[in-house]
Amino acid sequence: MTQQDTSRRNVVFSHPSEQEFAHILDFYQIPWEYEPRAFALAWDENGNVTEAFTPDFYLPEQDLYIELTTMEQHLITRKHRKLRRLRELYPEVKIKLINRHAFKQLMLKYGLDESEIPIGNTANKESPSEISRSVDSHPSGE
Amino acid sequence: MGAITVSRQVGSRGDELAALVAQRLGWRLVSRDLINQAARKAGVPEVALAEVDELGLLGIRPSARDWRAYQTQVERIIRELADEGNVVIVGRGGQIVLRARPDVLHVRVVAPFELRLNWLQQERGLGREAAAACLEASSRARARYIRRSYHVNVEDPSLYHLVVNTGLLSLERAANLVIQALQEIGGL
Repeated sequence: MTQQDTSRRNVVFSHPSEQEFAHILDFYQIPWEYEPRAFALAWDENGNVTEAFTPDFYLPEQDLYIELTTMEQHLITRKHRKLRRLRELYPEVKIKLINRHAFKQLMLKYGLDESEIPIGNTANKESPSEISRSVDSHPSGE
Repeated sequence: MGAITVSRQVGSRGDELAALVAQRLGWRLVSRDLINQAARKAGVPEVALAEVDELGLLGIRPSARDWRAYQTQVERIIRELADEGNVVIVGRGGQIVLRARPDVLHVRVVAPFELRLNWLQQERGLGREAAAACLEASSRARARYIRRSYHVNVEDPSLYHLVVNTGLLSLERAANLVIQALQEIGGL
C-alpha cells in the first residue's frame, strides 16, 4: 500500500463519486489532497466572509484544483457562477470541472471499482463552520 | 554530456530499467515530471492529467490548442534536458525529438505479453481481465501519442540504437547493455 492510499483511508468524502475519483488518482499514482483550501468569494461590510468555494481536490504535481460536477441544472448554474467569481478573484488558480458520473462506468469496465474503503457521512463543505475553519481570504483583503 | 531516451512497452519494467541506469550513471531521471512541468509551463495543467489518464477514466479531452501548447513545451524541455546532459528521459517521444543528436542513446524496452500482464497484475493488484484491458488501453494511448505527434510507429526498431527484452535479460544485464551502448556512441 502506498502512502497515498494510507492517507486516503483517513479521509471522509462528501460523496461516493469523490471516493471513486480518489481511487482513480491512486491507481495512476497521482498525489492528491481533499478539499485543502476554501476560497473566499464574497464579504460583508465588516470584511467577514459570506460566501466561499471549496474545490473537491488539489493535485500538487499539476498545481490543479478539481471540482466534480453533477448533472443537475440548478446546481450546475450555481457552481458555474461561483467558478466565474473564483477566476475573477484568483486568476492564478487553475481549476478543472469533471463530470462525476462520467468515470463510473469506465471504472467498472476496467474492473477497478473494487474499493472497500468506507464512505463517510455527507457533510456540507460550504457550511459557515467549514468556511471559518479553512477559508483563505483574497490577498487584497476584500 | 550525453543523454538516454527510454521508450517502453507497458509492463516491460522499462521505468525500473531507466531508474537503474540513471542510478548507476549518477544521472538525473526524468519521467512523469516532464509531463507535469510541460503542462504547467503551457498553462494547461489538465493536459497532464489527460496524458497520465491512459485508460481514459476521467473523460478529460483537451482542446487541440491546449494540446499543441503542451506538446511544444514537452519538446522544448526535452531539448533543454539534452543540452544540460547526464539525463535519462523516459517516454514523451524523446527518441524522435532528439533523433538528430549523436550523443543521445535511444533505447526501447520490450517484454513478452504474458510477462507484462503478470507484472501489471502484481504491480496494480488487478485481476487478469482488468490487467489485460489496462495493458491494451495503455499501449494504445502511448502508440497514439507518438503517432499523433510524429507520425511514426513507436514499435519501429529503426528509431532506436538498442531494443532490450526484459523477458530474456535481467534488469542488471539490460542496464549493462545500455551503458555499454552509450559508451559505444560516445555518450559517456
